[in-house]
Amino acid sequence: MTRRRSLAVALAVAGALAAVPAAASALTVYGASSLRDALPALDGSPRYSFGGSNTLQLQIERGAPADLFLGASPVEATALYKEGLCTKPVTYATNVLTLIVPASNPAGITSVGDLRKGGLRLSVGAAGVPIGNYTRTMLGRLRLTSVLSINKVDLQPQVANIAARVSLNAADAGFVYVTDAKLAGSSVKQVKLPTWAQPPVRYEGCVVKRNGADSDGASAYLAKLTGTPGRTVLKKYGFGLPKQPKKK
Amino acid sequence: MQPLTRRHLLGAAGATALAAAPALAGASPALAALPTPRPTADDKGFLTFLATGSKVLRDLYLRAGGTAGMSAADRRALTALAEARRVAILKSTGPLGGDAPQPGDFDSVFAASDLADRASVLALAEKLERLLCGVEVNGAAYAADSATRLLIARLLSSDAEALAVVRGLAGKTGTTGLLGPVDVDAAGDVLDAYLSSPTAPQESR
Repeated sequence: MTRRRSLAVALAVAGALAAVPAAASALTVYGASSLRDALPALDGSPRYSFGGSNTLQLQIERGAPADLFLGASPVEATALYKEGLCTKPVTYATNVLTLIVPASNPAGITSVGDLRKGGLRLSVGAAGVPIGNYTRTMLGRLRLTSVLSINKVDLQPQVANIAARVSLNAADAGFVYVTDAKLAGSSVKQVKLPTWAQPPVRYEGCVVKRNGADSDGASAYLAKLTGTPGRTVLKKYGFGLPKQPKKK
Repeated sequence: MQPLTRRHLLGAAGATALAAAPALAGASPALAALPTPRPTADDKGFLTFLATGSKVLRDLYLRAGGTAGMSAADRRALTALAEARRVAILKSTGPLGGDAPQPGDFDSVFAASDLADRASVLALAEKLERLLCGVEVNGAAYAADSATRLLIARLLSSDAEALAVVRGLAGKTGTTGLLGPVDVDAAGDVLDAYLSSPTAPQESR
């Protein structure tokens, strides 16, 4: 980890810790950036902290006061589980990747293969962030990893930033989840990516284990998210849903 | 000590060569250990496509057994073709490790007309077998890792046989001619028509 990132995490954790007394009774949910609209729509009462799943994981490892972690991939929740910092992860949503371009599409991009032209402004998730990892897997499957070196690539720590940059015409194209494309509305156009090359995007979450955590509240929230209320909201915001376990 | 002469040296060399000859004759290059594929990020595109395409073909063969007009011999051939595809999936996903497509990632979807009768099943099977062979010709030439190229070439040799079998069932000559390379982009467009992602968001299916 770089010094700059260590400092950023330390500051974020310090900030989070300092904020505890003000809202000690509220459930604290750490959620992936792509959930920034869906989760408050499900329940407005918790205190939410949205960001890149890997950054949130790191904050929890450093003792941040999260009660529930909801990531955008299985990697972070699994790591926390293996470290004894949370319960067994649960899959609660799915997603797919898409390529977005500004509504005016100044670079004239109509397929992912157009990124081979080079010299374009491309916004991509940083390696280690779920959206960045998924994007790299997909580009490998499409034999297009070279687009990360022949274009002017800006690396973003969370998917919301990518959608914002493309919406504002600060990038010619960016890889995001379809849910982010939906949130961006008419400011962007979607360029569909091949189905066969889509990596499985599974969102996993877990209840954080730490002294003073509101485990009951976090478990109740997770049950709500994976139950009918949560599935209804997630579907409304464009997420896919995992298959429900068969009732015995 | 006896002086070392040219005759001694030649005699020793000949004896060594004769002693080594049987051992060399028994060491066929085909028995050499196969190198382990270490696909680069872009090489994984070939293997992922082949694994997903093989799944679609396997599903086609498994479902086609019930198609009208299939004889018992046809069904035996389809079972053998499905088994060959199962092996191809294992061979192509092995080197991908955690990046390999998983069984639940995709469902194969076929139009009713694809499975309507024996002729339509065999036409689709030939189209998809030929598609995979084309991608394998491409991969055998352009994969960056030599062991991955070797694996793809081995898959090609097996899949060209499958293509010949399908053509034979359709009453065509078994020979396929020189197969040309097919780009993964173009092949993906064809394959996508037979794929759906069961847990993907509704709007993107």
